[in-house]
Amino acid sequence: MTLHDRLTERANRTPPGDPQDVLAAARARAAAGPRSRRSIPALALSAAAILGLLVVGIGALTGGGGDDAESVTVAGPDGAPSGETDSAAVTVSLEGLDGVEVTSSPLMQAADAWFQHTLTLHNTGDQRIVFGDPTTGTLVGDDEIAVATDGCGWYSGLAHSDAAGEEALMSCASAYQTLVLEPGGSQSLGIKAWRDLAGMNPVGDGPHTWEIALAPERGPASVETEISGVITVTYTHVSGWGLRRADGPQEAPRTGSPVGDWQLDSVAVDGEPIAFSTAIRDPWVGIGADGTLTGAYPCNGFGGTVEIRDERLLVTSLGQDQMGCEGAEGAAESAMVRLLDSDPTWEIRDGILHLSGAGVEAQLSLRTASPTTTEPAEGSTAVWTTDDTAPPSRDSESFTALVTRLECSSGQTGEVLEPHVTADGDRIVVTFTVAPLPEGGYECPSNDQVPYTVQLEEPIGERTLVDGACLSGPALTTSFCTEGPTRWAP
Amino acid sequence: MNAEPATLHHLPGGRDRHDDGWFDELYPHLHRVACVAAPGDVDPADLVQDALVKYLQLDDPDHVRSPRAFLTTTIVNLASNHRRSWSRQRSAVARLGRPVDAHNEYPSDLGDLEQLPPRERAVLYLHYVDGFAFDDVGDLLDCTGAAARKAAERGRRRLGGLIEEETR
Repeated sequence: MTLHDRLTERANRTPPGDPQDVLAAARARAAAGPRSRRSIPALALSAAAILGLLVVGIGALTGGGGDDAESVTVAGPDGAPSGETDSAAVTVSLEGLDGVEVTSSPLMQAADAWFQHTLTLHNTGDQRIVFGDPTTGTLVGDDEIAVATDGCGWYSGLAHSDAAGEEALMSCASAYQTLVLEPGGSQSLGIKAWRDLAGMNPVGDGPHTWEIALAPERGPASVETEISGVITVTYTHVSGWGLRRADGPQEAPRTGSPVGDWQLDSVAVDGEPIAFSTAIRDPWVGIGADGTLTGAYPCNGFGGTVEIRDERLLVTSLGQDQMGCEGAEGAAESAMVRLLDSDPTWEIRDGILHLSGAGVEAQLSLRTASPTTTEPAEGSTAVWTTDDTAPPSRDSESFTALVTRLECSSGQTGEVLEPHVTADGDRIVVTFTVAPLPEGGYECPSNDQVPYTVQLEEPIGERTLVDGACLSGPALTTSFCTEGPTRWAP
Repeated sequence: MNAEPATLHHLPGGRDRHDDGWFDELYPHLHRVACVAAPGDVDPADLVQDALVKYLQLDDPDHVRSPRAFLTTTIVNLASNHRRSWSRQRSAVARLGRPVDAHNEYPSDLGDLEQLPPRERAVLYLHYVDGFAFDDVGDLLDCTGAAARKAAERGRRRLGGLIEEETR
């Protein structure tokens, strides 16, 4: 049964009634009285005060103070990065929202984001409160908000608010779901602020703000209660945080992402390098955004799963081919197995991925082309998919790619430049770019798909077609790449 | 939906919303969306009626720019709320050691859809069955077209290999 069929069947699972009956019943209920206005008792206890005792450095505030906004500032921890970041802080202000208490943890560094903190909302009243989606962010699941600086997290956009000429958190209203606070209930939200990895939206020192609001203009969810108001979260002096320090001193927080295909440059055991050759295989490690681990030792191919943590790669289900391997290549292979098995620490310095664990240290550089058929062209990042109306096959020596510009361009992908194509025995990586845009502001609707015929030197065969934009670069963290880089598999 | 001056042309056929016929034209769409979005244990007709009550109880319904979008969004939000309640019940049932899916009323194929949040089901339905562009889906569900597209992608991803090439 196709998805279309399933949806259609579900849509027709119960027969509709008489609309006039439905309308009459609804009118009767609506006429039964105005919306129930449950009283909101005065705060009997400041749970925030209790929380404040429990968690050092936690600030709290309570709504219901009339029209004036209240706020509390939570400074960064003592261990904050040096210099201007000493004063990095998150300020939570609350306007209206009777019976709501808000606390925030201090800002914390994040391995894969700009910074993060935890916001806790507590409903001390007896009324169910339904917040609309946060502006400038996206409610991810029930307990995490992604505050994006690169266009609501799925496309690279320019729709950010830039009051005072400074780029700020994205002002995208991405309403996926609502946030419900039951009477007497609490909700902790992990807040992770993202910034554009490619620096397309350089983020300054702030202040940067975003909101969760409960107000009539924020949609029908708000009609469930009589409470209205806004929680505003403001970050200041944050330019030194997280990824901003990518070019900073050694003590800078971990930067970049290990996702991508990395060529093994060197491996050493207890400080002694192993002089392996690449005669049998060119060893590499592929860390997929989807948690797949693939690659090759000097003799055998391997695979598994990997979870990227702040400092470590958690490798599981590691398996490999069983070809015999001797000499320096065998030693290098054993060392790499030991390294990956140890859940190695990772760090990217000067573009080199350093893995370390179990006495083994390996350095890997981002994998470059092997047999290149065309050279990359200068241009802006683009992603692509295959054309479902004319899909490739094993025998295809060319195929049609539908190319989409990643950045905001008022809906137009524009001129597609000649792609960069690399191929090896397992896959064909095609990386598109598009002609750079002239200076100016652009709207951020979905850009169109431009067909482009990719000519290959030989049939695809048993190889996969891979979008190179989803192996590294700014597209990596967008929704275009959430399902991995593979666009077609035999 | 922003509160804007009444623009009655947003109603189907340019009907006046005080004319009972306006709901006749909206109802089939609303009922189908409710069927898609409602969790298995919720009567879709209840969602439609609850949404309609909320609409009629607004201080000034005429200021709702698009009743169709308002009601569609409200239905999906109500379905989401029911789903959260159901999740809590399932957690409690699980703690009691009873089979969580004992009351799954759908056979396997339709049960797959039940894995999705109501909003994602609604987005998939509006786009792939009703044929709305994502921007239009966004208008109906009070989100941006990008958000709708992302919700659809999430839904497809959750369904994983269960869906077929038609959705690509």
